[in-house]
Amino acid sequence: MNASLLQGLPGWSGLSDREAIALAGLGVDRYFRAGSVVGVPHQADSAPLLVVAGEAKLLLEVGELSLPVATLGPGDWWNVDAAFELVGCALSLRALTDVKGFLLPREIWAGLGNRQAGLGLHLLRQVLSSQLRITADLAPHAARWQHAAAAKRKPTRKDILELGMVKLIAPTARADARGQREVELVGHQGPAIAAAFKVQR
Amino acid sequence: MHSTHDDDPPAPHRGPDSAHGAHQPALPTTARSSTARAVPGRCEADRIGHAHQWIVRSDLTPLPVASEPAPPKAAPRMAAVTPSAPQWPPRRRDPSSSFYVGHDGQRVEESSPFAGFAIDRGSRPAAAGAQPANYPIAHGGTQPGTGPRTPASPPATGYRTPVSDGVVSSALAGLPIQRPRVHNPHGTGGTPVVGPTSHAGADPSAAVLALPEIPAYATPVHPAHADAQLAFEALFSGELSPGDAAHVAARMWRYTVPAGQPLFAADEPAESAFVVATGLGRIEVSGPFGPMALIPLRSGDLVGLAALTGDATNGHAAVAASDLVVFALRRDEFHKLCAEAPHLAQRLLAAGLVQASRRIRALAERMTQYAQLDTADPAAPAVAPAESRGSRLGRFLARLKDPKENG
Repeated sequence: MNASLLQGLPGWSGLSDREAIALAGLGVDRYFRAGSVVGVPHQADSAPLLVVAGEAKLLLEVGELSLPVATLGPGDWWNVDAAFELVGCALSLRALTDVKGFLLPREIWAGLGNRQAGLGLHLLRQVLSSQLRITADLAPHAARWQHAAAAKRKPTRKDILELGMVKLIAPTARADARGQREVELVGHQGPAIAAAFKVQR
Repeated sequence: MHSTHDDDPPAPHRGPDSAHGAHQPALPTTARSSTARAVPGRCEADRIGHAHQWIVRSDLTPLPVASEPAPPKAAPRMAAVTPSAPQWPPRRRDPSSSFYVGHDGQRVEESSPFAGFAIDRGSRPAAAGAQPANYPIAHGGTQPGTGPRTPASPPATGYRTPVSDGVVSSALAGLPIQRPRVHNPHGTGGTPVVGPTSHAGADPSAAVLALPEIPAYATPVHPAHADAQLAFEALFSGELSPGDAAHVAARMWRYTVPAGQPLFAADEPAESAFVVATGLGRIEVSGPFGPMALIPLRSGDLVGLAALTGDATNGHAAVAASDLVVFALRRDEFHKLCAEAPHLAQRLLAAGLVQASRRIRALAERMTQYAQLDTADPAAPAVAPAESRGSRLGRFLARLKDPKENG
């Protein structure tokens, strides 16, 4: 990660050179092939990830079915829950294209208040804005599902499919990704931050 | 929702020397402070006391009174009460103590929860002729039964402009102070749920200082009161020091949204974030099937987060399910908080981030549970078999199954 790449992300143009350099040095880069799993749900021992390049699909996965919720692009964050509450996101993330990500360990988030104030505020604003975008994409689905649940207490498979769930598009890629998933420890103080993330260099 | 006795406003109570203030412009006769109706004399004293406590700081150097302003036509303004004042430089922190130093060199106690915004309100430049933008329905004064309310313009003068008691009292009596009318569980009605003004109605000095987008009946947030402590405890997980709580509270306004009224609507400009103090609310999403309540709101919840991130609009609506006491944090007030105390702004953003993540997680979990009702293995029993016989249900089922064995 370099500073100019960070400053080129949507919403990050206001970052000064000094702040961008400081932030770029705090995290680690990760690369994911198209179709691979960027993150599995409820993976608490991972770190928040900033999508730097490429696109990834946020999915609600139940069994072999999945509901596309949102598409994350450059500047979007995923798995913020892990930084603040030590729990994993309930949604999974799959790479639509080759994705370059930037992992920011949770120790960094804990020490945000002690770092440069401008950098911390900018970072939190961007993450919160990204979460609000995901909420805005998820809310119509949730409202539709809630409406269906109020009408019919126990759904059939047909009902679930009508609510937008589909079979996973690339089960082959999913299987491949599963086989390649390994635990990788990044050298830092604290728990593993990149567990279940496969490095594709 | 509204008490019927408030529908007929009494004649506004004039100050003792309202005749003396003949040069003052005529103010509308819409003052409806129930306190004024109940005990006019005490109310008058309270008003003057409040105004002198927080508006006029007599211990400071008096400022020259400027020329008489033009009388307002549509809405009462602070400019009609006190003349314009020069622009003040911002306050600065005295590094040698815990005091702020005002523009005139006087030290202002930091411990005062209103010290921060009082100075900033006073230093706010006069927006001559500037009309506020359209504001959410809950803010814009379309309170049921009151008709459209013209928002007051920003105060055009410094709060330190010396005015007499009569001028202040007559001006306050004429202001359209509209108390939030809420249900009282004890049946007396007309009393705010809880808060610094629950015994005396809305604070008139707050009405004078009210900014355009905040309802005229909004009051300052006192960090020592129960609702503020409750909300901050839940919002910041009890990790906020009293000084920080006072600093955050000084940037907020407190008011009540009646049950059923929207706090803000979807896709309208996000001007303020709101901390729920007391009461219940819900986040609603509209769809082809109508509005759907998705997420409940309770004390300590932070909504309207788009105002903190700089986004233009909120993607959803927030509605009061019961009478909802909220602390409103305007976008520009949050910017000031960022400049003054970045660590507090970070705490606020982090709290909002945690709550936004929890809402995403809650929605996803709910949808997952519903989908799993179909994908669950039908061969598996819906209820775990009570074979342990340790539970009462297990023993009961076992007796039904084999009554001889169990006698």
